[in-house]
Amino acid sequence: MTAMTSAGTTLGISAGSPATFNEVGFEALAPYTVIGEITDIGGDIGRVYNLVTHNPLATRHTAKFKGSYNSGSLNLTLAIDRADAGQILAKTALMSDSDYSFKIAFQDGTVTYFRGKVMSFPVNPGNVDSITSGTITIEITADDDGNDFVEAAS
Amino acid sequence: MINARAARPFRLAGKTYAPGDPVALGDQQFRDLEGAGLVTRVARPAARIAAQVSARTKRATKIADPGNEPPAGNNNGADQ
Repeated sequence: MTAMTSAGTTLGISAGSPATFNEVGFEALAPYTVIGEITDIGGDIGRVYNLVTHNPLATRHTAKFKGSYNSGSLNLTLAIDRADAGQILAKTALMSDSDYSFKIAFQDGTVTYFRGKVMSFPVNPGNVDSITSGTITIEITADDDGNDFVEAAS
Repeated sequence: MINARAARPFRLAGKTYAPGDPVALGDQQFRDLEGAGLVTRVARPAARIAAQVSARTKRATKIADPGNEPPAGNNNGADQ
């Protein structure tokens, strides 16, 4: 294993829900519909806990605890392609309150599955030298059992 | 795999589909794209065969119905 670029990374979407929150459950929804023309996948893909502190008078130290957690979000930048099936599904997801299933496939073959809500998909026309672009924000969700990600090695 | 047809133009996995073009999709992907109005299901040959068998069964039942029996006597037509 060595460092790699993100070239070749793809993001797929499905309206289906995995029967079990594991690789088998998510892969049963395959093939995912890849969202086309993505130029950047930003955001924090991973759980982040809030810090809870406690300062007892008697000891002066700061006691630290893990509070609630947030599973993160993705911010996609892409060129608008109104005929792309993945972008059309993302628009459908935007109009839904339901969670959708997502699959990120990295260059080395590693795959990350998660569930999330498409929160926004605005279009940015830009200027005369711009590609008509858009951004998609996906908020990653966790279920009541704390499941939020499934990672599968290549 | 489900045999579908494109309901309107779209691009998927590097291919462009025009309305009416055949598209082979997995079960869930078909439901996804059908929900987005991109594809419609193509009637499977097995379903058509089942419909034909059903129609033949109905005709046979109608003939066997006592209310549809031919009049008494020799009705063998050309064999008389």
